[in-house]
Amino acid sequence: MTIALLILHGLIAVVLLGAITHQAASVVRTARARPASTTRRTFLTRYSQVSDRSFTAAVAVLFVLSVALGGTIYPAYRIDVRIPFEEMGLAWAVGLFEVKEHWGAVGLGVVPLYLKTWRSEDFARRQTPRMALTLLLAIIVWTDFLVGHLLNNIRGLG
Amino acid sequence: MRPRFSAEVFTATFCVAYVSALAANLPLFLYYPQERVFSWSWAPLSGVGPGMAWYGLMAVAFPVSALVAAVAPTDGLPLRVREWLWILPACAMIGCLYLMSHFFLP
Repeated sequence: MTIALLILHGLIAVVLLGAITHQAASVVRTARARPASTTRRTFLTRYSQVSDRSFTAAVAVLFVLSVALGGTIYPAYRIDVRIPFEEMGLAWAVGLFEVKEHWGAVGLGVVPLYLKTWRSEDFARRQTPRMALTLLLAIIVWTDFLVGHLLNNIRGLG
Repeated sequence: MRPRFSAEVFTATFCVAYVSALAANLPLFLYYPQERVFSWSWAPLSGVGPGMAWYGLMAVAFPVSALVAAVAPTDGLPLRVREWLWILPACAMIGCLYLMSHFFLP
């Protein structure tokens, strides 16, 4: 059961990674917008030319789901993975997971304000908070994904 | 009547409450997954395996921030302040890194 939940956690993280990266690329492109005639049609241009607002609800739901699933399998990590890490003297690996869990929690606290900056008229003309919160969430998602992947490669569950 | 909720206040309070609880090592409870035991004591229990503080930290930060966000006026903060609230989660992330730095130092 834990393995199934871990795989689901990973799959949700992949979808979340795609959504937040698209949105982050789009919001940065919008902030640095140049006249359309001077923009070259590169892969990066096309990658960031998405409707950034449409990703907001998906990112929020996927982030909450991902943290909830991570929290569900956390006890298995504490017993089956962290103890061997400590026995192997891999304090840095334990530390990476600690950063992952705490940043995940901070991200959870950010979600309501992130949603508001994308939906409220108050923030409609203010690009900075929207961009900053989206980039913060993107940093959290990328870090948590890479750390989870790395630790699972060192010693997975099961 | 719609329930009042200020996203700005929730995020700000959550970041402060979570990092404060983490820094002071004050989770609401500890969970011992090996024996599936919850303990309201901050002193580690013996004979029940390793404890986890994360659930207890979330249990501190969530109710506190939800309560403050429900009580605080939604339009109480000027827009100029709301624009810069993203600094708080950024500081919270740096604070967590600092508090965990002992894992990476020799």
